[in-house]
Amino acid sequence: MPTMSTLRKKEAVSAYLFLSPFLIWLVFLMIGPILAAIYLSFCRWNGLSSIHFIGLANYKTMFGFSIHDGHISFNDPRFWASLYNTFYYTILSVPLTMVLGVVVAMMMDQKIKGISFFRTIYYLPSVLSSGVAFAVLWKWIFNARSGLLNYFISFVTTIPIDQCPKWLASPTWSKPALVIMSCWSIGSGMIIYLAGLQNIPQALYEAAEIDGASRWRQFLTVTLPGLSPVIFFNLIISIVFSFQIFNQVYIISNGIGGPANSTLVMVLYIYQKAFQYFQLGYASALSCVLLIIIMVSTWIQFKYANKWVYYEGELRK
Amino acid sequence: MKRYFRWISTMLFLAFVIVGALETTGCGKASSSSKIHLTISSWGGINENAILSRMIGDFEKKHPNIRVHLERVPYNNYVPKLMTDIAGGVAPDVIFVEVGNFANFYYSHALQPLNSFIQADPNFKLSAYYPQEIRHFTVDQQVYVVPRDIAPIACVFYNENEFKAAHLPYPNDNWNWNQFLYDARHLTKRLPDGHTTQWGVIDDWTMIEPWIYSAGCQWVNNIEHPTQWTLAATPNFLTAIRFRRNLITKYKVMIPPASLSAIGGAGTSDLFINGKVAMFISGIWRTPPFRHEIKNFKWNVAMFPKGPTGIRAFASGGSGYAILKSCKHKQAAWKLIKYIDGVKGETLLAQTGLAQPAMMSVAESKAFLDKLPPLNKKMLLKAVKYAIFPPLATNFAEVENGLVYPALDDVWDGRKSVVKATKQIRRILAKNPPRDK
Amino acid sequence: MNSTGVQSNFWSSKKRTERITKIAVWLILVLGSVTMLLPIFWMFSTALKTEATVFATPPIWIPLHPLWKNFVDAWNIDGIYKSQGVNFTTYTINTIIISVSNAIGVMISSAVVAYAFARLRFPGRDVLFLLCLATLMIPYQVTMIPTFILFRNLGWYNTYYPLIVPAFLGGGAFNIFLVRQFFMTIPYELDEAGKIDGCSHLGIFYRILLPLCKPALATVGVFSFVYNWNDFLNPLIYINSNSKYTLTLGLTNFVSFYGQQYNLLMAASLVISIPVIIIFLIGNQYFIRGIATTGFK
Repeated sequence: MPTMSTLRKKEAVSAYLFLSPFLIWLVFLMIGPILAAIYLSFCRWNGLSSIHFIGLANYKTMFGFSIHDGHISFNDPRFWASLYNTFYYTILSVPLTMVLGVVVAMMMDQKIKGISFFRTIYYLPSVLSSGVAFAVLWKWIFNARSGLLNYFISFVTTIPIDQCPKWLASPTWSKPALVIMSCWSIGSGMIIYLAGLQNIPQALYEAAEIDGASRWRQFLTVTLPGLSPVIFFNLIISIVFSFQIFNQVYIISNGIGGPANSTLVMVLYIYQKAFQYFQLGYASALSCVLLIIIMVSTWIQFKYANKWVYYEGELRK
Repeated sequence: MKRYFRWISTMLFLAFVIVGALETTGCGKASSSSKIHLTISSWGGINENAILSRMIGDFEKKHPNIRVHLERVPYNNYVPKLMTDIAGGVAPDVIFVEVGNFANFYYSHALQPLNSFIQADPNFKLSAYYPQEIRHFTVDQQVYVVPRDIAPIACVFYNENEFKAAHLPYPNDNWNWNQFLYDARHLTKRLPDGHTTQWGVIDDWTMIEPWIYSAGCQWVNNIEHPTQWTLAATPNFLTAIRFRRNLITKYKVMIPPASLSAIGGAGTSDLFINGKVAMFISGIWRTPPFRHEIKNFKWNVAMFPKGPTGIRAFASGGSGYAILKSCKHKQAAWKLIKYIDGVKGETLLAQTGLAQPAMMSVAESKAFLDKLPPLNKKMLLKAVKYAIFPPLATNFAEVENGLVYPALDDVWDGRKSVVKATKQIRRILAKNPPRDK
Repeated sequence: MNSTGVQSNFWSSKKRTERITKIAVWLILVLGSVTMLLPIFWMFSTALKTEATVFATPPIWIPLHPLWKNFVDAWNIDGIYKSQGVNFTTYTINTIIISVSNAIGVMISSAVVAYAFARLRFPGRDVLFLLCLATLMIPYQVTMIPTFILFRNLGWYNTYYPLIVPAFLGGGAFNIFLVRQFFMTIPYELDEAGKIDGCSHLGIFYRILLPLCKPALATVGVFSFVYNWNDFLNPLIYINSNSKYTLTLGLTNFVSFYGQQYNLLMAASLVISIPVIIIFLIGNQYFIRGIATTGFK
């Protein structure tokens, strides 16, 4: 079939032409930089002088530790602090925003008045929250003395303001404050869940109702499985994004990550090392570690996905 | 086939035309060929930049062939931004340098040695400026920065009305830690239920320097060529840290950090302005807002108290102007620096009360020692002798802000013992020796 | 209402509980909306206050004498770059230039790339698409430093190229994915019809599919506009001159200058957010449909 193959060839050529912007991007702004970052992670470089290859030294500093009178002393305690903070934030904020997102989406899935109005209002914050302007506002809201949040807490619980959490000024409460901030932008997830909910065939609910299934039962047997592909997609995306939190933390902690390194997340640490302390090799090593963490976490999620994610085909059978 | 090529190339062309068009509108630098263009970078506040703009305006009138562009970078981003600019080959011609970030610029080999300009210029006297600061900006006999101001962080601003009300004498030159503590305790007011209505003291930001220096500690073995951190090597460190912690946790005369506003440390000076705290430790640069905003009480300034063994010492800020090696019109840049940092510029600066001029004659003149509060400003002329500049190590900022201060954050709340924190700091410092590249 | 084969007495009681549930849900949603809007409202009300009433306790929600002047004052902060005439107006123009060209670039290039992935058969398609999805996982910071060096060596430092050109190169995996998913929902018969009429691939793409995928393009356009409007890290790294600053950089500059004047700060913050809110309200219905039809499967 000679004509077929030339047609195919022609199609392939035009496909690659259509893809050309993407291919340029992939090679020059993605794969190239990743390889460069991997190489730089084995080097010492301040961005000005020449690059020195130093083998594994950066990674040795990062992971190295010694033991003094029974205490582990890390060579780079800030790396471990940033790792801990990033995980802390992700583990708390991802499930919380997801559960809230699903709950709100389910409430909106009822046929009630003003749905599009609600949808707009709940979605609006996630458009605004990544901006610097609102990070500044949140910083004030969390202010221990003059912030709105402690005013409310003290108003409702009658605890004096002095004894309310100090939020951003306290190593214990600074990360919960960031998590609370993240809850303000549940809207982006909610929109996707809402779309997912509306794609679940009504017939499935009807069948379940005829079988006498309670609301809760319906939720477990129809809603959750039907929504699971969307939840899965959102889970992966939100974990990746929350590992990369930067803007809010930068503004809130003046780029320092305090108090006591409690808001020093990985990306902030990478930024500090690269652009404040000019250790570009070490910063690249840090970002390679971040890359591996994200890849492993995504791989685990895909591995266990078939245990709980149902695609429509399976559902219908 | 051809059509596709044409189409794709048209698209790319379109894309670049759009970008290109934006480019020319976005950054059109007037390039009238006959004129010399200089760019000067500063982190100055409103007052400072107003003076700078005025001086630049005058300079341009005197030198019609030179145009000067002032660019401001916020203080927090200043070093990162400038270093990136230098690396990217788009650095300004003249930059503002501080004693604290001098090491970064010096070791990036970006600064132009100024000796040849100084020697060739009979109108310029380096000896007019504070020798201590000149020494700090000199490496291997080469001067790199012409100082603008010197800023010993030795100022204890105090509320005279509160001292009077508590029947305390105003602090004098023999003030020591114990008297300071006595005063702070008597200036703190509490309700019967333990709620504090007025605090004794607060520092501008969490600062350990005045305490550790006057307890007899040094950051490094040699400020100009540091090879070792000596900060926590002696028990004096424990004394200093304990004293500051006790102000917070034991005597409860200093506001605990967690109660402070989280807004960039800016909130602490408001507390003094509002009369919520009777003493405020900072530098002289706090004067203009205090003059403007304090209406209800009289205030003055005292030198930071002597330590337990009679040592008087504190950190010092200070800044000046430097020319970058990449500058194409170094002679014009030198003229600019000389002009804005000359007697007139220094006098204007002194009159705002914002800074102690680095030019000694102006610092000792009526322009600085005026009749406005704080009247005891003259103590700064003596304070210069006790001022200690930051060590010349490129990783000093990282070690100080990234490692030592976070390790102490838990001490101030009383959640970690001073001994434990000291051990931790010793280990950290041993692992991160001072670097010079 | 959907259960037809149920007894009538059960039906009425069910209807009552359903109505009660609906009211409860509605009330919760209203309460939630208030919480969501509170920070924005607080920003607005602070922007209208005098300096003295900003920190009043109990908080003043609606200032008695709203100071609309604050918006003007915040906009015309003087004394900083008077000599250069740089102010928020300049920043706004810069930000519009960057955000709009990003939106245009993303709309054009993501559609082109997505078309190939959705409609054309070629060797390596699945691998490339998987690779494309995999880049979603790459943290921006991994590529940030080498990319910075690349752009710097191209002489693009302190220009808008690094902030705009990537948008014309596919617009990122997320946008390609979104548009591709949308293409997948369009029946293939349309392409076939086009082919029979003698259309080339370009013709099919341009004449038949592109007009149909407006909701998806609106979605990626709005996303990219908003993202770039709010972007902070990229301008921070690449832009140097004050005259090229974006609004987010201008605002941080403003914070370091007027950090304590919360009324002006909030006024400036609010004004900066208004275009985003407007774009959002206009595009809202459009792109919610875009996301919904895409389905994310």
